[in-house]
Amino acid sequence: MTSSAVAPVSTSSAGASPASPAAPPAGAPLRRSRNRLGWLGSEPVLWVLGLLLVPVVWHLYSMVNDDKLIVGPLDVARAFGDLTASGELFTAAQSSGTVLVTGLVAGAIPGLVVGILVGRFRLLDLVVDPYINAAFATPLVAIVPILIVALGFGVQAKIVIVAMFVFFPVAISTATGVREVPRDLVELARSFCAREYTVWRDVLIPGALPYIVTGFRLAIGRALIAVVVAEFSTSVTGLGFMILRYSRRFRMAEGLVPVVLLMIVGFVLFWALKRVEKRLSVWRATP
Amino acid sequence: MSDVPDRRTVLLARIGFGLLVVGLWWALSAMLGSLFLASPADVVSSAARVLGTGEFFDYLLPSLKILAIGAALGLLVGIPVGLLIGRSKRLYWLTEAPINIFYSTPLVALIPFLLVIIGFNDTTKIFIVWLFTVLPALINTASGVRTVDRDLVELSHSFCAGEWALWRDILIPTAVPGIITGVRVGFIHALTGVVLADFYAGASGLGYMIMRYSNRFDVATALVPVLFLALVGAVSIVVLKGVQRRIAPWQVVS
Amino acid sequence: MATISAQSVQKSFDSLEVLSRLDLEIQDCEFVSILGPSGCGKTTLLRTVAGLEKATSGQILLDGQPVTGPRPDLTLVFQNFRLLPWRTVEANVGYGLRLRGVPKAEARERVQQKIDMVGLRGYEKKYPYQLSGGMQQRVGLARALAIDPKYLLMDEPFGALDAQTRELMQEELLSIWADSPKTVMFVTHSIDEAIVLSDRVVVMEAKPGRIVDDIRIPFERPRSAVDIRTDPVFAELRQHMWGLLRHEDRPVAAGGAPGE
Repeated sequence: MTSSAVAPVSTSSAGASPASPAAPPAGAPLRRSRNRLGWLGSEPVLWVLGLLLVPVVWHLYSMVNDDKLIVGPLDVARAFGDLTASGELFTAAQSSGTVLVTGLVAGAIPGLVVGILVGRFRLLDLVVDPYINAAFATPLVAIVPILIVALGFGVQAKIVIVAMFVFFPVAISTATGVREVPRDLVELARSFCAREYTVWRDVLIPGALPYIVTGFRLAIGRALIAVVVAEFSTSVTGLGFMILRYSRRFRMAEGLVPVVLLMIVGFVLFWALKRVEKRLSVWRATP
Repeated sequence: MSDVPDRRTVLLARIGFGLLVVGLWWALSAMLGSLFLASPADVVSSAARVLGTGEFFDYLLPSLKILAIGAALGLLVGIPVGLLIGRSKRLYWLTEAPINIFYSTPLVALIPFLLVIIGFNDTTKIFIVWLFTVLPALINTASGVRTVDRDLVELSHSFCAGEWALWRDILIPTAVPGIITGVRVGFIHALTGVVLADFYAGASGLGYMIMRYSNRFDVATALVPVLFLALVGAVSIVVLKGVQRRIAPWQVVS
Repeated sequence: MATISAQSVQKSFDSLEVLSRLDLEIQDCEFVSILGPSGCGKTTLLRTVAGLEKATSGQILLDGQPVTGPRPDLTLVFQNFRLLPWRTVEANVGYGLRLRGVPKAEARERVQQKIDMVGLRGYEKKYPYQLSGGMQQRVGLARALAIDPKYLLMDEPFGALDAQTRELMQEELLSIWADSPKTVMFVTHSIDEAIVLSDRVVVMEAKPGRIVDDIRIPFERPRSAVDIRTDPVFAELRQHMWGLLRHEDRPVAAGGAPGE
């Protein structure tokens, strides 16, 4: 394998900012990566190249492929413009967004509460842990048709589905975070006569915060899946339904517009929360 | 300092909690009626029926086939590519953006297009499962390699170790926990992929069974494959965590 | 008055007796070290005085009042520092003041004063991971002193530091104590440290934990650690305590106290 030689550092950087706040670790590596590519080999440039890679390859493929079903990024961009102008995209996004946000809140709040309780109380943790992990491992999509039978084709069903998808990652990450806070620090707080709520405020929640944000990051990813699945099966509105309608009429460019929108939304949220996570973890020696 | 309860207490409490959940389920189903929530008894009798007639296995086998092929292909691609990406800094930065974009996109949204382009067949189903498996396997493997201790790499170089020896002695052992995590997470995603594939891409498999019985308002029977999938997910996690402890005993498994 | 009085304190964990009907008096503004091998219960004694553990029988009186839990006029310095990793140096030093609802302006002033006192000026905005062990323990000390406690309980505070830093910190503790004497209970397993710092050294034995000797240290204050170490009396005391501890120096049960 021809590789650049510097062993990667363990920072999990999805943020990919050129000016990473994490200082380079001490101790120079024996082999430094010689930049044979010049400025082309620098990290931010590579990152942007990678970002452009997908649309470019896609475009070239659609050019050489004559199949009418294979549309290129430019066709999708044109359709994006049309659907935005007609207001159709906005209406669908609004409908999906409402479900996403409501479901996110409805799932995250109980997730936080359960996570904090489980992380704080050892016996509860031991008792509930196998059940929560089993539920987390279950492909929740499997319940969607049953939920729809029970709750109907309305908004409630969609919100319940999203909330269900969100609950587990939030609960599990929060519990992990609270568990990771050293008991010594809780005792320190007690030695200063801290009350239970100040222990939460000063010790448990700040200690668990990076994990809580991670939980939200995972939850948003799952919430987006849940919205699309819910709209595939229930509704006559939303981005998911838009995908379904246009793809069934073989209007691929229009159908891909909501997909691209979901990609952008998903990636931006993912990236933003990664940044937040990093910000909240400055106090950790090795993030 | 005995704030950790003994095993017996924990086991009893766990069983008690399980019974509590089943009890609540029962009470809830009695309150809401069987259309909304089938009672545990109904589910058990439905399970006995579909297992007895062998009907369940007619749905299970196609799903197993898709799962096995799709997940295997996903791991076969995801793990080696993850190793390369974890090793090469350039490759890492080049692939960082597209990987994260696809990882944070709801891949379900692509299924309707796969149906139009590839068709309602097993190829689409396998492709869906592959799609769901490959990214988690790749990402976890890569981050496993990236946790390598630079000092150890330096040590290896100081012994004039070549690239191959570096992989054998340092990179692969470092990456093992990440790889297993990748397998574990990939497998869970693959299960979701199978269900979705059965939902949308052809009338076979456990997903189709769920769809079919839900549409007939037979919630009790529709819950049988759901519970089966929950069991598979839970068991596979326990098994893979055990494997992880076995293979990489120096790592803490969360 | 800030006196500590342990009255036939007995403490057991399950069937293991850690402290056996132990009596101890510490006077107001007296610096007393508890010296002993690992597993002799010295840390348990300190934690019981702090109200973090409950005695199985017997009682602890602080200024005549029985201890029922943590008190606002008592603070601890721990061997493992226990700084809040997500707080900066100044926020860590001000932690106790914040809990007591001291007004912000006043708190800031007192925090700055203690930070100067332990020599950490310029490090106010740093996070604990950016500091060396010695600096982290200075933060721990400043945090304890910031609330101006009557009782200062220190559990092997310099046990995790290297030898040189350790001596430096001892010297500084001496001068801090000289400026504002407090009732100090100082747990250590270092004979040198106990002699240099204390007015009295209480020597404990393990299994079950009990006091075997109570030795007055005759050096005048203010002291200099360097002068004391070269004094012939120091060597004598050291020899005496060494004898007591060596008598105790049988293999101790596995999993002894931290830092041993």
